[in-house]
Amino acid sequence: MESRQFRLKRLKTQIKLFFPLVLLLIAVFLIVLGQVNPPLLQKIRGTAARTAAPVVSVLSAPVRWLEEAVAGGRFFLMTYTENKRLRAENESLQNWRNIALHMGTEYRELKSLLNYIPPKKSVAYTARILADNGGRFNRSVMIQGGLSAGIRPGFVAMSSRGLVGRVVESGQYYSRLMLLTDYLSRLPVTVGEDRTLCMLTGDNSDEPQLTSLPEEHHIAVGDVVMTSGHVGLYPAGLGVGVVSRIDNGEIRIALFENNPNLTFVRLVDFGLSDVLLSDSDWAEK
Amino acid sequence: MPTSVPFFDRVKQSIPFLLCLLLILLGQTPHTFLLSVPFIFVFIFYFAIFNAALLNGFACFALGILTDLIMQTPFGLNTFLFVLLFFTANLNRLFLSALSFDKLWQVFALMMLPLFLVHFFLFTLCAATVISPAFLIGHYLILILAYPLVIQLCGRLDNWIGDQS
Repeated sequence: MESRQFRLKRLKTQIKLFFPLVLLLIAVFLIVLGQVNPPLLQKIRGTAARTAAPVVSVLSAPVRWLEEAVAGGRFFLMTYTENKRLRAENESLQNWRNIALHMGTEYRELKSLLNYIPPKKSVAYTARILADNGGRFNRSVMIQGGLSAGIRPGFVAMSSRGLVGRVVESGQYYSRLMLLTDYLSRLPVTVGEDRTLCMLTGDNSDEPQLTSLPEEHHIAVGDVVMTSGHVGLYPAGLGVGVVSRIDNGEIRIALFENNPNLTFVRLVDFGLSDVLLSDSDWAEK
Repeated sequence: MPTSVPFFDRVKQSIPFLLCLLLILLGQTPHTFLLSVPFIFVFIFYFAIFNAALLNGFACFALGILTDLIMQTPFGLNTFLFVLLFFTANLNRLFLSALSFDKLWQVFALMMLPLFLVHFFLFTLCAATVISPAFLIGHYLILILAYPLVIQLCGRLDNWIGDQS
């Protein structure tokens, strides 16, 4: 009896001794498992993020109020200068309006001459950013609105300035948006007037870089970057940013929309969600 | 009501865990760089040394998994770091608990340095991308500077739970 108790005690001591090592080994196993990324894990991750979203929304309310109050105060202080600037801008826009009207008429006439087939009409939604999923290492955000509101993976997120990212995951009431700066983001783009085709690659920095460049190109600082429409995840011709710097062949892009305090995004369905369907989904269709 | 006492005790004892969970969720609030600093490391460090009964290895493991799931970081990354910090501090608790406040602060700063480096390298390995070191350095400095405040909170919480129990 004594020896059994003694053995049990010894076993307990041994377990206690190896317990930290076991937990660390499990954690290492989880890291490896995370790299394999089985579908079940993806599902669990999605559910966890969606479950946390309403809680984060409540927690972020005071921050939101504070931001709104500060923005309100700033707006009040800036009213006079802003008014002056807007008047000047309005005058210049009137000129542009006349040019646009003239070009619009010309465009319609040319279109009717060419028998042009217009693209499918896009549907847009506006969604509030609830949570910053990225934290330290990712650049993705949780937004209000999911499948129940008609928001599906593949929707393109934009702001008034330009492209923001795209919806990669949708739950019933919340969706996850991958920003262009995320390290997993890859966007086929064209650069400059000669439309050099390359890839905009996110690396979690504020300025993503251009990769997959042709051996000879004439990209220069200030060139405009636009979506190319290749792969089909984004339609062609959406404004992305401008070339901000070129260091030792590394080309960095200043995004048109790079506001870290973005509160709302416009989600546009260009009818490209089908591109994301899996083989089984296609078979079902 | 004899059965209700252990229940409330258990609730009180789970406050550090719940607070850590709240910190993880607060880190998710948009536009708040300060809240995304991993203050949870100070909590784990404190309780690993002074009262592991309130935040044990399993709790740290669970917190790590929850962090990875909610923050969408490479799975197992935070789990590994939390458990590593907990057991490093816990196995040296006799030595660490005898240190003065400023010495302990220095030890924490020193311990965080390799931990942040491991975080950086593991993330680079898992995600195949290099994250901005400036961001990490910013987090590290804020974490070290905020240490006295957070450790005070942990101490008071520990005392309060002890008094109540």
